[in-house]
Amino acid sequence: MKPLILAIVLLSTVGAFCQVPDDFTHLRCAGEMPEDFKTAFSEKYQSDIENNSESDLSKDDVIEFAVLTNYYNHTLLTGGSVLYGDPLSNYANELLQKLLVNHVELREILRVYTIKSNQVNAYSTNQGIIYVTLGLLGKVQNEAQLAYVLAHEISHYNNRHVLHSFENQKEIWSKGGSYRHMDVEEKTLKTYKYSREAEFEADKEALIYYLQAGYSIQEIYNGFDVLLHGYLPIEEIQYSFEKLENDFFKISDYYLIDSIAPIKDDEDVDDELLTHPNIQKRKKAIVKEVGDTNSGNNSSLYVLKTQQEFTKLQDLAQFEMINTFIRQGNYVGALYHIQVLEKDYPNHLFLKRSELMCWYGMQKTSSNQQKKVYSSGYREVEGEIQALYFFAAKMPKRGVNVLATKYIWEQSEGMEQDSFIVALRRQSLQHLSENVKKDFILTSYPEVDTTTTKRKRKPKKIDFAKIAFVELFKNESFKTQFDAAFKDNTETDNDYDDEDADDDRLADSYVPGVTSYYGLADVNKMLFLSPKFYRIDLRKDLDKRLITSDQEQADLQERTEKLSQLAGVELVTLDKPNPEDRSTEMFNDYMVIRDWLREESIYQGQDFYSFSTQNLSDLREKYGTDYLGINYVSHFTETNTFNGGYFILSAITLYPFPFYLYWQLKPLHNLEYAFIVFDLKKGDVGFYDLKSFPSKYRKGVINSHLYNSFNQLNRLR
Amino acid sequence: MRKIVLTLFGLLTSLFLFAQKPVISGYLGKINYASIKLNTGIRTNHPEQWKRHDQVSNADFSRFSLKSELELNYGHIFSNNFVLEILGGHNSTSLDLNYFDDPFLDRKPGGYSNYHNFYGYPKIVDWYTGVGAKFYRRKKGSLAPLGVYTRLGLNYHTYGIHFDNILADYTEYATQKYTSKLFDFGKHSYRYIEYNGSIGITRAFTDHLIYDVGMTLGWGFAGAGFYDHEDLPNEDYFEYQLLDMLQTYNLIKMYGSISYMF
Repeated sequence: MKPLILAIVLLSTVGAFCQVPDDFTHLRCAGEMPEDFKTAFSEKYQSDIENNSESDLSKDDVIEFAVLTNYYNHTLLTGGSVLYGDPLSNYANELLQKLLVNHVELREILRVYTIKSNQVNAYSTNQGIIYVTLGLLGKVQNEAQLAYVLAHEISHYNNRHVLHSFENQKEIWSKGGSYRHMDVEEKTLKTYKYSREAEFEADKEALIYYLQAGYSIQEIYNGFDVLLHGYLPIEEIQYSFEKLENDFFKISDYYLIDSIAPIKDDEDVDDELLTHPNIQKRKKAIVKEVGDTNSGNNSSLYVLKTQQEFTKLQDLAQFEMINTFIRQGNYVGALYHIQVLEKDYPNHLFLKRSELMCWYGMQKTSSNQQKKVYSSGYREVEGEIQALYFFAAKMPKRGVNVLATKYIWEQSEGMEQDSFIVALRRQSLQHLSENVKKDFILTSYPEVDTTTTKRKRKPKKIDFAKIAFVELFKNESFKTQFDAAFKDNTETDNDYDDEDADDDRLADSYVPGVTSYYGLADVNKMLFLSPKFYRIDLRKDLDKRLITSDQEQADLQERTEKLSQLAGVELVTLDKPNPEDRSTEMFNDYMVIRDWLREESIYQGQDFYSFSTQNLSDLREKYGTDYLGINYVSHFTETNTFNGGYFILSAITLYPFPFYLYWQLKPLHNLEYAFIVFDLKKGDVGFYDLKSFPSKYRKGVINSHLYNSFNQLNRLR
Repeated sequence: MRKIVLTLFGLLTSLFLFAQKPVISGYLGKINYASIKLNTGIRTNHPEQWKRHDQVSNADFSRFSLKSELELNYGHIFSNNFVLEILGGHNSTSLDLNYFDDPFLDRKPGGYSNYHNFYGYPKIVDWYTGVGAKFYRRKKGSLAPLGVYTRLGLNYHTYGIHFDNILADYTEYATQKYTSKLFDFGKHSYRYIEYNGSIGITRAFTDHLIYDVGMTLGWGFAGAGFYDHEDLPNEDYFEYQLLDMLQTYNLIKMYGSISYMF
């Protein structure tokens, strides 16, 4: 627990230097786009095949290794989740240079990028890329701890652990060889053992870079503790539920946890089935190398930056973590971290918007039976955040709805100029009216009945929420909008069944495997993400499938461009495959879109006002369109499963046997085509063409469907 | 009042549905095509190639021959799943009169006579027109004019049968006189309505050329007055046998076509 206490002390002393900009919305890439983001996948793996030609691996294994590692890398780099040129990545790169000051060759090869993930993690690839996560940057307590993590990853690269791990697995799992007599369990343990040995080796070599740079040895051990508690929030503080209450309104005790689960400190877990050794063993291995405390002259926590500069950067990481929490629908995690950050940034607009968004998100997801997104498993949670998980898990749909609307309206008072907040308020109230009966909500405090002696029924636990809006009803604006929302909703219910109306519109689409909804027309310009092609041939190895997919994808992208022109739809492709067409500006826009899509995907196209929507208006204005299109094609093939019954029947009756053989030997194909267009202004899906049918991939057929999709979009031209 | 509101809503919904109706995309925007189509099939018992009597010895044709019909089609795509075709076709075929000797049995009061052992195969020329409706199957991923379809067709055939240059043995049963002689019953005309159903698949070669392969099952009938020659000795019998032959002739066909989209 010591490192955590230290973290609290450190964070509380540096508040005066906090400098996250007031207009922060999200982190962006900057500077020239690195080659890693520009180079085509095919170029990357071909280059690796040439470079690895002298490896011990067979030719096929060299290809497999190059394709698989590059595919993973390429997908990550181009998926909109990795930052470059931003303050965090720049800092990590500077730190890397510092660590490698005496290792020129490595310095020229290695580079660091930041992954927008809240997990505490870092890893290096065979291509010389080191990834660090926002979670790691947000949680390490000082520069020294980050430096050790980077040094550890440098060692992994320097020792080619990824390649050797692949070679080792090939050897262990091959049918012949010295491991052939082992059963699956023994082979699995052997694989993990090799991985743990690699970690020890990396820990040991990391010391060279780390100590050369002058960092404190003690911070290695503290850093291990941070990794051990990587699942915890950035800080331990008690969550304040008082902000939801006032003099007259109190949350029922039933929803507040009595005592929280203590934080475990198990350094010596059984690591036999883990890829990493347990923390105790790692600490011991370091002690064996260098001693247990600040032996020698090294004692620095900060070498490259000052503590204030480091804190500023860490704040940025922690702010961006809020975005990630919300994108994943982890509103509880976000709310907790917002409260932590509000200590140093009490009136920050981003935090305010985020907090209100979390309440709206919980309101929506609880009503859509998706509560598990943010509230499941509070029993497994440790520390102060458990109180919030408990609250979210116990609070029923009606309570979440009432509390969310109440809090959003109370907190947004005086923020009527903020279009995002105003929209959120409206959406929240609308959602309340659709999910909570009007007569549940009281407009004035009930009088206490002292006259009757009759025994009353025990009040329900949720009844505390009835008076939630009494104070708000004194606000004329709220009262008017509340009445309007409930009035609209009543009329809608009485006049027609909304569901039936939707069914009518889609009646055209009741064909198995084919679902179309042409809700947009006259669309002649839209933002577009490069089409994706997936060739999934289960008869072939994964690397072969990926190579075919890549080749066909390039062709599909080219044809899509031509067909859109033919149908009169201008495409603004944000992730153009040609390196010369790529720019940081476009990549940033692409990231905004990808983040929005990720957030939207949690709600499966249901009417939802997502947090990332606030970043879309600039894009709509910049590109002059309200629409975003995505498209993918997949061709799936597998061998037909053997049918013994048909075999016997056809063999006995003889004549059908050739037909049986044809049927049995013929592989099964399925082609999927998806074309979806989002209305960015409304934040909803406006158009889709989804098809799945038993067929091989035929370019003419896909051309025809692609043209049709574009044609339907622009049909009023 | 509620009924009025619901009726108004229904009307509005139908207007909305009309507005949302998909437009026809055709193949990359092209919704018409002209095609050349070849219908083929195996034929047994009758020759496909007509021949004069002096070109054949008796029944020298193979028992199996490949029939062929050449057809020109114009197709228009009316929706993304429906195509209407009009067509015209031609073929030249024949028959073995040895299967048809009964029609030449002449029952005159003076005695019976008959032609038999025919040498040569009469020329039969068929010109036909027709319409076809293709229904593309959405669940198979079809989008007119590409993909899997079923087709229903109706063809109007006009057969011209040239009974000349046929050499046959001629027997007068009353006198027991046997001769071999050329007969000439002139040109007969016969009309026949064929209805058929097909399954097929269309694929693209290029942005303008598409090809189509499939199989047709057909049958037909001839209405009263479809046969307009009355010179044969046993006219009704000939008509009956000819109809039987044409029905068999049109029973199964395989086809392939190549179309130009515009």
